[in-house]
Amino acid sequence: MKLTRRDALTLGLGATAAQFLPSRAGAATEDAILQFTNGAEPLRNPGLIRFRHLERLADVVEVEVVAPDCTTLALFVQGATQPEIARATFGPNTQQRLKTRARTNGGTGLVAVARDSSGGYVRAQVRFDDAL
Amino acid sequence: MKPTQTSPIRLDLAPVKDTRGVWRVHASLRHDMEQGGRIDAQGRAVPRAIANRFLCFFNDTVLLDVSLQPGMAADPSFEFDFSPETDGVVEARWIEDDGTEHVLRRTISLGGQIG
Repeated sequence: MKLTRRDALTLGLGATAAQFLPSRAGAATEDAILQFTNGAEPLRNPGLIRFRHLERLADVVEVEVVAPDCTTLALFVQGATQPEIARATFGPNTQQRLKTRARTNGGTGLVAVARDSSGGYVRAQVRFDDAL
Repeated sequence: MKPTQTSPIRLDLAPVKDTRGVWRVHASLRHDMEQGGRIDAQGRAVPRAIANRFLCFFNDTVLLDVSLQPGMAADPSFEFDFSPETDGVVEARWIEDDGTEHVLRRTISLGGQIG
């Protein structure tokens, strides 16, 4: 096969464009987050939501999230094809801290999104190899 | 002699140290949480079979209501804290895809006793 100058330029343009396209798995996580927030873009405010503990054991990760003033908390795996882990609603006498265990499912980290008492959303994320 | 059937559900309760009036709840369920799509040794696709909801009550008031997805690890567990205002009963309830429910209740008193 003869590679022409035009072919080379087309391949180069395609590779450049691919760099700017989100991976399907990454897009699945963002889609799942937007589904939880009904399309609203969550704020990034570490004062309102944070990871307190993260420990990876093979393909499972133990995680603890604190989100004062939140009513509902959702957890997602960043980069997994099935990103949503769980969605928790807290009762009035329950403190907004949750510890649980998730499958890493080929992902790169976790995203926590909380709905606060005024109906807004905040998010925090952490990579599996981050030290907390 | 019949083998003893052990409960798949566990519910641990304890007052939180140095935090007056706050109790810690740790609830877990022994479950494979089959995500679906896995191929078994015979080459057959294993269907999804998970516990998809966890509910915890204190005297019929909801403490925590969780919708679980296939991303949960096998043997799911949740730990959280709450502030009871009276003695009462904590109930943990896990619901599976096929409707099976696993329920465990334990009594606590503000003096620190657990039943």
